Amino acid sequence: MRETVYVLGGGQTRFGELWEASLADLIREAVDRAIENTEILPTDIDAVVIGNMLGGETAGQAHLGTLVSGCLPHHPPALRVEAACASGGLAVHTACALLESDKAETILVVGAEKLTDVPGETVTSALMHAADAEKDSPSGLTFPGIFALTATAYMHAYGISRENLSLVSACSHRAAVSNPFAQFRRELPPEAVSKSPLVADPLRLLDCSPISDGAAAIILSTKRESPVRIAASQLASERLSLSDRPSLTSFGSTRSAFDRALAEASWQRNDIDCIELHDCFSTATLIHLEDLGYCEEGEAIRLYCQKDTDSNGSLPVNPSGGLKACGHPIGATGVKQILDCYKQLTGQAPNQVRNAIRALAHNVGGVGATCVVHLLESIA
Amino acid sequence: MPASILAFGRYIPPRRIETKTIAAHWKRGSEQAEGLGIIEKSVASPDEDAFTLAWEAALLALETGKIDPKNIGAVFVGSESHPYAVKPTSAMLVTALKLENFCLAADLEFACKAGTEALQIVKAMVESRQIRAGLAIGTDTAQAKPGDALEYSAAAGAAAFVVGMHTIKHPGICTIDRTLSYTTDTPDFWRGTGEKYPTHAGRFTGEPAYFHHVETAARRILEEAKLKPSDIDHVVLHMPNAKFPKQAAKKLGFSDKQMSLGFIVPTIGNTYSACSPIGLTFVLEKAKKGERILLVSYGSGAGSDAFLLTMQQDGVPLSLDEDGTEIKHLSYAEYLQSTKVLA
Repeated sequence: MRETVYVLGGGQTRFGELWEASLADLIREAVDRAIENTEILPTDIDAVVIGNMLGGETAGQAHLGTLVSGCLPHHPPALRVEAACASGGLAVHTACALLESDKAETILVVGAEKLTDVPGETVTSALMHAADAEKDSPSGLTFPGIFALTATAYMHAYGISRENLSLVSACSHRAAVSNPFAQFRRELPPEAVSKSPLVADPLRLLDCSPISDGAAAIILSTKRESPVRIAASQLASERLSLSDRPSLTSFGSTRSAFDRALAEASWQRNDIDCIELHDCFSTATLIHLEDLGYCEEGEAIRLYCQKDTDSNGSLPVNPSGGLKACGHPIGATGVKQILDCYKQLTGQAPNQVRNAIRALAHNVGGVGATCVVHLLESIA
Repeated sequence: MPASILAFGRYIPPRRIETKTIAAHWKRGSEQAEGLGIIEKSVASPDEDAFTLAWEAALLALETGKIDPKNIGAVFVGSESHPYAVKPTSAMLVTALKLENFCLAADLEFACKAGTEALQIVKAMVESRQIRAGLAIGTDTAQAKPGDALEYSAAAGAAAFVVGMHTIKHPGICTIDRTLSYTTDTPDFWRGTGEKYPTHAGRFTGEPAYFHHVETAARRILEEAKLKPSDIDHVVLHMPNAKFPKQAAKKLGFSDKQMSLGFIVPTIGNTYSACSPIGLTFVLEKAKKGERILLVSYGSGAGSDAFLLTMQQDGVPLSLDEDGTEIKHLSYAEYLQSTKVLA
């Protein structure tokens, strides 16, 4: 990083089926909490970046940068970014770029999504905007279907059993029990995952992150200091359609973004104490861990079998509960990941990883078409 | 002096389709149907509709209770599937049941609670002495879009109640001691004019819709009557599936035992405006003198009607063909034909 970008803190709404709240309500709540938690003045904010994918389709609201800017008394310059499910991470990355280029000194970054006011079929259809409209959509695929193709290939290639796969979601739910912002706060036995209704073979309902509403906001600054800095911020892209990829069981964008982030921060991967990972689907979680280089291909399941991924394990993954248990309001997820890493690094996380000094936030859009990686460090 | 249910009847067509047949047709696993807790649902024959079902139920009520049709001063029919948009089912029943022509007849619609609304209105007319006795009917041949989750539950049936003041000749089966309604504008389930099938808002039909209204109405009526859940002997809640009423009952503090007599959805399905009324008929057959009944219906859009009833005598078994009639299980094609999808 060319400048030291500090994470001053942030706030979020609960994630879930928030029928009483509109998209604007969610944004306002997250922004209010972020400002309250960081003790800055609203007028200290020089710019706003918001990540959101489906505001137009599900809430009739685009032009969201201006909407957020209007929450502040001085209407700072604002913009919206979109990269499907990586919209939140991209918002953070964009803010870092603005800070590093001295276009602003203190930036409010928001991620928000409102999905539950429209029928499930509408959301499913809109989410396909994250795939290739000419190559993927005409085949009748939905996003669970696309990831089911990767899951079929992965489970076949590496002999992953249904019973073992269910450990992934069970781990996330176990972690979320103590998270007051999580959509689901009950433990889930692996057997329940295995028996849940089939969504897209082999993926069952409880292999899939849910449809959720929610918003998160963080404040980044080069002017004000805090105990947490962003050590690296990297964005990588891959071909949009799965049909154009060399592999169904590896996403090059994760490999690329993470390698560059490690180089930027001058870290080794084993320097990282906890990971907020993009667990949109259980099999994708395993693929991501292998793409991040934490295990050989086909071996990530062992981390779950051995409970290494629990918050007191050797490689804590999603101690917040991840997308699966916290919920996945598309644009909010990437920002919430940074907030959860901040909480880990400042000892404030409900499911605290002991002695967490370095954290990784991994946010993916589409079927690994976009990957945004942030590395955060406690410098206290 | 509260009005009483003097007689009751029901009609459930003797045709069923199993939910596993529906799932198999759509090449789905059985998890969704099992999750709803419905094994099979009733299906009207092609020559049946909400009017004929209502007639069957009302005739049984009049005959079982030995009620002179000429004493009926009002007929209210609640349904989501009145055969005509304009031509009242209730008026057709006045003639079909040979009722007194100087009779108020009106059709009601409030999704699945139109039948219990009929009961409220007739009770009020009796207690205000506008009529000596009236008929309150809930009847439906419920519609569901093929392939939609509602297809597992939308069923056909009718229940009818003769309400009047109890006399020596008509001692009354139970008094309707108290009733109230709770109403909001909640867009959980609707069918636009001219549309064949309803639309529903998925998971929104749960907490903000069904549970909020049923629980609010139930708690309020118990509070007003200064009763606790343990004071109630039998509970009938609206049954859109098997899961919702059980969850609501648990939250309200009612046991499975209190729910058992009227819990008919697993083998009949959701008969919409007739749903909780049919459940009530099963309770009225078996409940004992002195026992208290809580009935809470739910209609999307949305609202709940709550009733407290007290048995004035032991339950009255209906002499139905149900016990003797063979139930015919349909294939999916026969089901489509019956529900006039192929018409």
